[in-house]
Amino acid sequence: MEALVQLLAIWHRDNLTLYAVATVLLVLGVGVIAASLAAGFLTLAGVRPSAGARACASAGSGRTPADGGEF
Amino acid sequence: MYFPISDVTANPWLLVLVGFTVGVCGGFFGLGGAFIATPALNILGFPMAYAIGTDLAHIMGKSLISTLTHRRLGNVDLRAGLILVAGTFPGVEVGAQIVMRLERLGLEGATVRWVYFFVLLAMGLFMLREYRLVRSHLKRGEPERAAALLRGEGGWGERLRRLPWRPVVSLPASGIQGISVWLLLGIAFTTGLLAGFLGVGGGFIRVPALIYLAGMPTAVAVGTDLLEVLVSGAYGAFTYALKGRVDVLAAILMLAGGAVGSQIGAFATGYVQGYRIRGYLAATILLTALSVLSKQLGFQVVAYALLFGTAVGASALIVLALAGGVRAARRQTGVAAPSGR
Repeated sequence: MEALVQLLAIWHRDNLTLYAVATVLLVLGVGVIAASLAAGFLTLAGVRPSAGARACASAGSGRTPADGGEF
Repeated sequence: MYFPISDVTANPWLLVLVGFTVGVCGGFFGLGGAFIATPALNILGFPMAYAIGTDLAHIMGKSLISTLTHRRLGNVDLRAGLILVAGTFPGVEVGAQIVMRLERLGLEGATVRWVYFFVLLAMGLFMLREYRLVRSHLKRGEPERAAALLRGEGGWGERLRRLPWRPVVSLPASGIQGISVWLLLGIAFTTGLLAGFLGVGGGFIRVPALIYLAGMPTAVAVGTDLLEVLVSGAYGAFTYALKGRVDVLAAILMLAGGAVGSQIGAFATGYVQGYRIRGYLAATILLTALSVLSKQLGFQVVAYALLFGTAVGASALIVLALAGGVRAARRQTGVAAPSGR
């Protein structure tokens, strides 16, 4: 971790293009990993989309037939 | 903890906490959250340019997480999102050019804050009025009238949607059979212009616009807006990083909190009814308007207290709503199933 921070600090000083590309890739990569971990944690805690919501999503409607999920 | 890239020493746990709070609000309301996170980073010791750049990088990662979650929930209208992206960038550029002109005249600070205040006030009051009307219809046992009100039937938004400006596209993910591409581009351009003028991401303007003008269901408006926040955040993060004004380590710490927070916010939209999401958003917008007014009148401490109090209060409310929804679903069916969708 320390080595990565040092490497990023060097790129930040010497090559900003490389630093910008590394920043975007690193943040997106961490985002994807964190999303999977957080989703897994919430699923374990019992929070998950219902079968009904998934059916609506896969049918392409994105909303329940009755009221669009508004109430 | 020392951050060598920005040469700043700051408490890492506070960065995680800011990320979490902004993440919950962002995932729930479809906001980037720059209006909260940028001043927070600045207060924690990051110079303003680093605060903006680091916040943009964190918003990019957090929006990716929220967009993926909303996509799983069926809340992202990809077709609408791509059309909106095309209209937003020219709008942002025009808004930024207006600010540059005002800057040359020395009028930018006060003008931007007053416009910001009145836009937020008008939007917040309109949404609050609608929320109260819907609630009173539901209490009187008139769900059809409440649904008609939420769909904007007979309103000027519906009349706009009926204008036959070709080309017309259908948006099945939003349940919209036909809508003019020009109307979507117009919404994107106008909200982009306001965002560029006010120096914010614009989610809190775009989400109500998608609901009332395009006729999208609340949850789909939130998910689709997040896709746009992701694209604009990525562009902003890259350009700021090219100028060396992103502290990637701070952004990742904020993202750690934001990852959990944005998932909680996005999942909560499945457990909270759409009209209640609009009610929460109305309250958040009105309190933010009050914070902008306080700043304009010179009450800096009150402004920050209102801003952070609103963010923390809204996050707590959303977490409680999610927990209550999960418990209620367990009681009813024995499994955790969202009741709001």
